[in-house]
Amino acid sequence: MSSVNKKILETIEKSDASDEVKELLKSLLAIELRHHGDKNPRYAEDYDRNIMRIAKYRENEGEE
Amino acid sequence: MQLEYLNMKNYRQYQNVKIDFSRQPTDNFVIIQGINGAGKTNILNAITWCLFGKELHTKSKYAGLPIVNTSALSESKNGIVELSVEMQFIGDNGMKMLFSRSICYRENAGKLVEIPSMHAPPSVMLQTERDWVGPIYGGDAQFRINSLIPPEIEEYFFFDGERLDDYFKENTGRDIKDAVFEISQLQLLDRLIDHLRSRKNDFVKQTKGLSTEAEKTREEIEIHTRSLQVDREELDKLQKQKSEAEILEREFSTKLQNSSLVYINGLQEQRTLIDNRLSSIQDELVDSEDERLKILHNAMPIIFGYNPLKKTTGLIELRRESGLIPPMYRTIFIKNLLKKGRCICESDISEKDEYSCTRRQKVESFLEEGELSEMSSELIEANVSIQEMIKKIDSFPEDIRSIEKKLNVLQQEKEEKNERLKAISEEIKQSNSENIKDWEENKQKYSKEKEDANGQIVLRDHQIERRENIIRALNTKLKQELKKESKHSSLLNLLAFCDACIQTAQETKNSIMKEVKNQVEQKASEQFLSLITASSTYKGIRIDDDYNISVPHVTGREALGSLSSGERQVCALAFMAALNSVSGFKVPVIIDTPLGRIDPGPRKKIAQKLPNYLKGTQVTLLVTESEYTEEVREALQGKVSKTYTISFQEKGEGKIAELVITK
Repeated sequence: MSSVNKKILETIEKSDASDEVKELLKSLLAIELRHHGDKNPRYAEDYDRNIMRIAKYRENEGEE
Repeated sequence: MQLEYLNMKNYRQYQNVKIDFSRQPTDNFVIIQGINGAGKTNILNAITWCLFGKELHTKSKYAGLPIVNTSALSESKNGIVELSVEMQFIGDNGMKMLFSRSICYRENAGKLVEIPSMHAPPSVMLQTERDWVGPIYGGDAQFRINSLIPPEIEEYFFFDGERLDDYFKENTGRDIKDAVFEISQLQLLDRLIDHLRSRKNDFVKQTKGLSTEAEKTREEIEIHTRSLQVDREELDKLQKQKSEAEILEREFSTKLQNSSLVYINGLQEQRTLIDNRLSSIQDELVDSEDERLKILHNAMPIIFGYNPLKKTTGLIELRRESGLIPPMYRTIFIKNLLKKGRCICESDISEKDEYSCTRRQKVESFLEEGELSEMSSELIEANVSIQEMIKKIDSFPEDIRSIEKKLNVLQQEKEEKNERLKAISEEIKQSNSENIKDWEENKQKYSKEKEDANGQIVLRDHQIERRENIIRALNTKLKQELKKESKHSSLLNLLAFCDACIQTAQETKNSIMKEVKNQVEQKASEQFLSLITASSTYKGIRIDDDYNISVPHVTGREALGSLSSGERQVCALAFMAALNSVSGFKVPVIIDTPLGRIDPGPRKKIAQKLPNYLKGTQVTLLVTESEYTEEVREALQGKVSKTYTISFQEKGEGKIAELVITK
């Protein structure tokens, strides 16, 4: 079940961005949707976890 | 996603009512018929209350009445009544979802007191292949509901037809832009971009061992980013102020237009026409100014180089007239003869003896002359281009005079129209009616507020653009500083990764915004023209870059202000349906009083077309008997699977309503 508007996900998927960028954007959109309506959302931890996870993978792939 | 049933217990006049909805692919319409006050709108309210905990379609006459059924309350032995609304949906994948919300009330000394529940509402249960899972409660359940039907866009699925007439009166371009933003969920991308920028700065902040210059640049970025946020908030406030002033200005204009004094109506109508013309003049002025700049931009380099160009072409002509150009022979031909060692006259020029050497030197001398001739040949080609450039310049004085004349005429017309507007305003203020004077003063007041806000918006926009450029430059500087030390390579990679994400998010947002705007315009236009009787009178519905809606008449004049009430309702209905269809959310549509203000002629046409433009969507219409005429029934034949009639009786302090299936 998709929670983010399909158009956004499809446009990201069709873009020229790398797979890692696409993956990060999708996971960050899910975080934004979860915090939608919060006045002061505490997003930093969730963001950092996702960014680091994908950036680390990206760096390892680059090394290989 | 389709709605299977709605179950209301002790909700307003519905003590225990279950409505089964249609789930047929073709006859996907359900009609719920009831007289005014029977409880049609409360079905819509029960739905939004169940989903979002709010009655979003409450009319003022209901304010103060308790949400719980009053008869049930008086009949209850212990004074406690449970109110609940339950909705079961079935997803496209066949999975069932049960949403419910309930509250227990107790009457205490004539006041209703809510009894706290063990679990926070709402609750959600999901059906897997074998069994039901859940329930989940509170925030988690609400998140699940909101992800299927975002509350911000519910009004494009559950709406009141009677209020559609006022949609374009109550909503400005900004509101419509917000609607498109909401329907496309673009605010998610906006927040994502802001948060990623903020994370980027924090990554640098958390890095140890930054050089003094890098640290200083980072701090500057932080300060400018914070200021940018303030600028954006200020811009948002200004845009809201402008929208509010615009709505109020329109409201007082409408009052003047509808006043009982004929000459005031006439003056207001005149003013509307002048305003429309002024808006076209403004567009023409912008276009003409652009054209003037284009002419100047193209001509300036040639004007500055006019004398040297003229002299060059004169010299070339002189050479040609004296026979120096074009070249008599090509260098390549001479080179070939020298290579072969044989002249064109078959003489030996191979340098094997004194005679052939002398002949060869003679041929070689042609080569030097030939090179000069080659240059002359290029000059001939250049001369053609120079003469074309000079020719273009010949028409420059006339072109610039003509465009400046046009600009002057437009400017003069603009001044005259503005003078006339002032005179009309003074004339209206001379009226003996205090109301008229008051309305005019208010109209002028809000018009000025709108203009002032607009001026400040322009300034703030420039400020934002300037600050964005500064931040961009500082980011480049920071990266250069970090590159100086190899220990920061991981950080640089991380920043580059974040930048790539920000760029893709930004491009996604722009692309969807443009696509959705175009789709809404196209679909709304098609639907509007297919639904109205006078379809050849209008060109359709247009949405400009600021999301202002217009309905151009075939003559090119703006006609939104002069549409009939029914046409305006159709226009809003077409617009709503277009927003709905491009939203990407497959939610059932429920329309309260869809045909209330529409004349019998167009009513039949709408009923005929409605199933087509909501094709594949489950539709429920809440109608009065006068709306659901024989003609409408005929038009919807084969599309309606169930028809209910609301019957109600006064009981004790309140009403009890039931739904009787009539088909």
